[in-house]
Parts: sequence; structure tokens; C-alpha cells
Amino acid sequence: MRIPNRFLMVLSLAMIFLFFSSCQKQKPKEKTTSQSIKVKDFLGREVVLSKKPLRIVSLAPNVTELIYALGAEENLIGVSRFCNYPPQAKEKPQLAGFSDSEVNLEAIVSVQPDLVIATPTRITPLVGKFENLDIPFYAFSPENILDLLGGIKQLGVLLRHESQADSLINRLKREISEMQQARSHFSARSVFLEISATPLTTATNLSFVGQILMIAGGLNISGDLKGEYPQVNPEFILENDPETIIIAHPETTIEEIKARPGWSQLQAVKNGRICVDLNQDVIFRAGPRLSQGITEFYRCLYPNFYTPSDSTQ
Amino acid sequence: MIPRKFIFATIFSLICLGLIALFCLITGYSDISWRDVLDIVSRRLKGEELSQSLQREQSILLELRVPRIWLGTLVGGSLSISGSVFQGLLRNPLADPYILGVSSGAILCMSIVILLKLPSTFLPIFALIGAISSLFLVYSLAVENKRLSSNTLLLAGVISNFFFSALLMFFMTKAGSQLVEIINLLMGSLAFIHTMPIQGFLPIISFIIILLSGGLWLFSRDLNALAFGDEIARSMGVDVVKTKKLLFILTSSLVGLSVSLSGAIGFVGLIIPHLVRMIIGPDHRGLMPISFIAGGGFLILCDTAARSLSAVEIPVGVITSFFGAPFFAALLKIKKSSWQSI
Repeated sequence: MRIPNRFLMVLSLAMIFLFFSSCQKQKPKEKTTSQSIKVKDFLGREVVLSKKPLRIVSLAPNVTELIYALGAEENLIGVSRFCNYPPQAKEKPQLAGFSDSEVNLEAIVSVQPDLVIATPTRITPLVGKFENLDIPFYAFSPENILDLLGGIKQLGVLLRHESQADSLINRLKREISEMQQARSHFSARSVFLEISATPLTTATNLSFVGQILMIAGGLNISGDLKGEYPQVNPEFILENDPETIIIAHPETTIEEIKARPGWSQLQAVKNGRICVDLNQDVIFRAGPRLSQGITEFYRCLYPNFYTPSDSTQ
Repeated sequence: MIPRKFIFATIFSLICLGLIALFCLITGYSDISWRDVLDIVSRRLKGEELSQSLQREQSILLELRVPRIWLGTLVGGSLSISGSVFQGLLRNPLADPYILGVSSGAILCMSIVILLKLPSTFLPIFALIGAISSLFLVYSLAVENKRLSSNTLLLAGVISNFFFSALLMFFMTKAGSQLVEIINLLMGSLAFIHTMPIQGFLPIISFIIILLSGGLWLFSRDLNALAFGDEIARSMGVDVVKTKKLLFILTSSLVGLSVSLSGAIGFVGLIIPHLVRMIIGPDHRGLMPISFIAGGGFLILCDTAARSLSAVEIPVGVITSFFGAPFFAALLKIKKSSWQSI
């Protein structure tokens, strides 16, 4: 159970370092002509922009955060209703909700965007609609941290904010390696990450939040289960007896968790190692606040060693 | 009074249910053998300390599996007995416990709890509120001149069902990341007992469910008469209006209660009464208690598969239909003639 988990962690860390070292030498794959820009998005589609986009619509909170982080916010003319960070983003016109069916296509067309960015993980009818309407559509759906860093690079090319993108990537890399150094003195802690209580759902190493947890030093007991967010049986948790329990949703209180049938047996409950009140936005969003997400988990896993100054930004 | 064959059949099915429950008790994700169970029992009897691993196994058995199996028996039982009553009352073979909109009302109210991100403690309470209010809505829609005709009741139920489903679907479009939780309620699961604070209320809930089911069974003779139609039932001395009202309220409360405990688990309430009817005949005096027992046994078997196949839970509604439908189809082929008789 534990060996493959640890192996995965080491492997992923190795991959991240490999990426760090190779990144500088790598030439951008995108063809940059004087005018037109052509990049591949996360669905493998080619997105062509003939000029710098000045009217951008973001349909996902992490994309909005990234646009602000790249300093392109004055070109952002529409967001989704979940875009709540930075606080100024809430003042932008809200053109979409969570799912495809909530995307107000008419509203989007009427603001005449020259680039729409969303996070679909497959080609949906919505993607086709934007293609038919001749509105450039960029799918930004990174599945892991490497993807995210690569995606920021591409986003920089697309928005013609390359230097900001590079410095953001460097900042994120530096923060990640600082976090890793900070926690390298401690051994990894076995942990159960609860995404929702009813149904009892957790996250695996395939999910973005699972990877952040891994970097923070968490040895996820459900890391190797199938899928990204599987529903688990409490017997599984009792059997694996995690050192720490992290509750990443606001549905339950610590008292309710302690009172759950059978859970009083768990060492995490006996030792009071239950973590609630996490900032959900930073642990679930693949965006510029990555290191804050790691810090949230770090705080839960190593409460004795955590000092607020560790948190960057 | 009660034919002897029903008494024997009930006792026989109770024994079967006990055996199934024992099988379900030692089956699960954690490997717990008979020897461990006996070890725990003997040490407890001698008053010896349990080792750490035995202590863990004990809490898996007593705090996770036993309550879930007990809940499964109650929910499966109440769904099946409600199904048998509705099929008789509405004289419709397609009637199931959810046909009169009680479950959609309950789930609608539960989804409000989820959408407003209220603590999960509110889920069962809201479910009961939803079930009871939809019960009254359907009732007031269906009653005409203080009479309650089966067809009007059926139509009123179906209409409110559609209306609640429409509202529910609207909520689902607004749900975002909570969508999974609402879908889970629609599919139904016995795993809610692990995280919703309902375990403490289990004795009182069991008492109410058994009381309601027993109350329904007292009407089994009247249901037999109603199967011939209202006029004939009246000529046989049944107070048709009062009986129908009482049956409707009792059954709906039972369904509302079971939905609040485990969401809308499908198939059990539709098929088990048919199955039992094929085996022992349409007489409600035997049909109702045996449906209860068979429904309970069927649901805990399906739930054991749902929780044991891997660490990842499968919604039990998927399993009830997946295994139940082919089994039922086979039985239908073999005993074709029994299909007609409700």
C-alpha cells in the first residue's frame, strides 16, 4: 500500500525537478511570427490569434486569477460567477456559472470577445459553438503541476505577457522548492483528505488537490485508488488509520467527525489531528496561489513546525 | 385467521434473512474472519482486554457494519412493503414507493440543505419536512368531495412528482460542485449512516418503521377487498374512503422516512412485491410481511456488494437494478401466468 504511494511521490518530485532544470533550455514550441500567434491548447486544438487579445472572457476562477497574476486584467471583460479572487474580479461582468449549460452564450457574444478561456477537459458542444462563432477559444485544463506551469507559459505567449509569465513560473517554482526544502526535515505524514462528507469522498494522487497535498508532505492513504475523487467506505479509513485527517469542505465540524461511528478508534482523532477551515479556493484551483494551497496542507500536516511566516505572498 | 402457510413462510424467510445478515456481517472491505468474531465475543465474555487490531475489528463490526445492515433491512423492508401497498391500492403493477411524489419532495428539501451548505445534521430533518409537505400536497390535490379515487391519487402523485423534479433539476443546474451530492441522493445509498448523525436515532427510527409497517399489515384484509374495486370492497364492509386515506398517509410516512435515511434507492420497492407475489400469491396477509423481509434481505445483499467490492463505494441503487432486473426477467419468463394477478 505505502510503497507505491511513496514511489509516486518521489517520482513526481523528480519530474518536477527535471522540469525545472530543463525548462530554461527548452525553446518555446509555439510559432511566434511578428503578428499571428499559434498555440496548442489543453485539448490539442490549435488556437490562432492574429493580434494581441484585448477583450478576454474567462469562464473559470483559476484562469481569472492567472490573468490578474499576469497583469492582463485590464483586457479582461467578462468572468464567471465563481471568479472571486482577486476581489476586484467580482466587479467584472459575470457571464457564466459552473457548467456548460450555465454559460450565457448570447451575453458572451454581445461583449465581442477576441479570446475566451475556459477549463473543459474534453471537447464539448460549447467548444464547437465558439468555433462556429469564430471566437478564439482556449481550453486551459491542467491536470497536474507540470501542466499548470506549462500552461502559464502558453497563456503568457497567448496574451503577449511572456515576461510576466516567466516571472510567475519562476516564482511558483521557487515557492514549491522552498516548501519542499522546509518540509524535507520531516517525514511524510499519512493523511486522509475528505472532499465531501455525504457521500464520503476523497481525492487521489491523480487530482490536482491530491498533488498539492503530496508536495506538502502528505502520504495520501487513498492516493492509489481509482479515479480522481472516489467515494470511500469508512472501513478503508479505519484499516489504514491515517495520522492526520484533513476536511476540505465546510459541511462538518470537528465534533461531528469525532462522533462518527468508529472514528474514535483513529489515531488522528485520539491525537486531535483533524484539520478543518481550509481555504478551499487555494487548494482546489490550479492557479497562481499554488503555494498558498501547499501552505494550507503544510499547516495541517506539521502544526508544530508551521510558522505563519512560511506562507508566501 | 391467518393461513398457516403464511406463518410458516414468514418464519422461513426470517431465518433466511438472519443467515443473509450474518453473511453480510463478515463480508466487507476489511478482512474479518469468523475466528476473529468468535475471538472478540469470547474475550468480551471473559472480560479480557482486546488487542489493538481486535479492537479495530470490533468497531468495524459493531459501529460500521451492524448499524448499516440493520438500516438496510429497515429501508429495504419499508420500501418493499410500501410498494406492495401502492400496487394494491392504486391497482397498478407499475406503482412503486416513489410514484406519489413523496421521495421527490424529500430530495428537493435535502438538496436545499446541500445548496445552502447547511450542516448535514439538517438533511434528515429537511427530508421529513419535504416528505410530509408533499404528502399533504398530493392528498389535497387528489381528494374530491371527501373521496379518494385511485386514479386521481395516481395522477396527483405523478403531477407533483414532475413538478418537484423540475424544481430539483433547476437546483441541480445551480449546484456546481455540490451536484455530486444531489445525484447521490437520487441514486440512494446506505453509506449516509456513516457520516450523517443519524446513528443515535436508529432505535427510535426502527421503532417507528416497525410500528408503521405493522399498522399497514392490519389493513391487509381491506387491501385484499380493494383489489376487486371500490364497489365490491364497500359491499364487503370496507370503509373505502377512510382505509385509502390511512393507507396513503401511513405508506407515505414510511417512504419519507426511508428516503431521509438513505436517499431514493430504486427497484427494491417495485420488484420485490412482484417477486413475492409470484411465489406466495397476491393475498396481502402474507404478501406484506414477506415483502418486508425479502426487501430487507435483498437490499443488504446488494449493499454488501456495494461496500465490499473495493474501497470505493458503488451506489447501491446501481446494484439493486443491475442484479435485480435480470433475476426478475428470468422469473417472469418462468412464471408468466402470475404476472397479471395483483
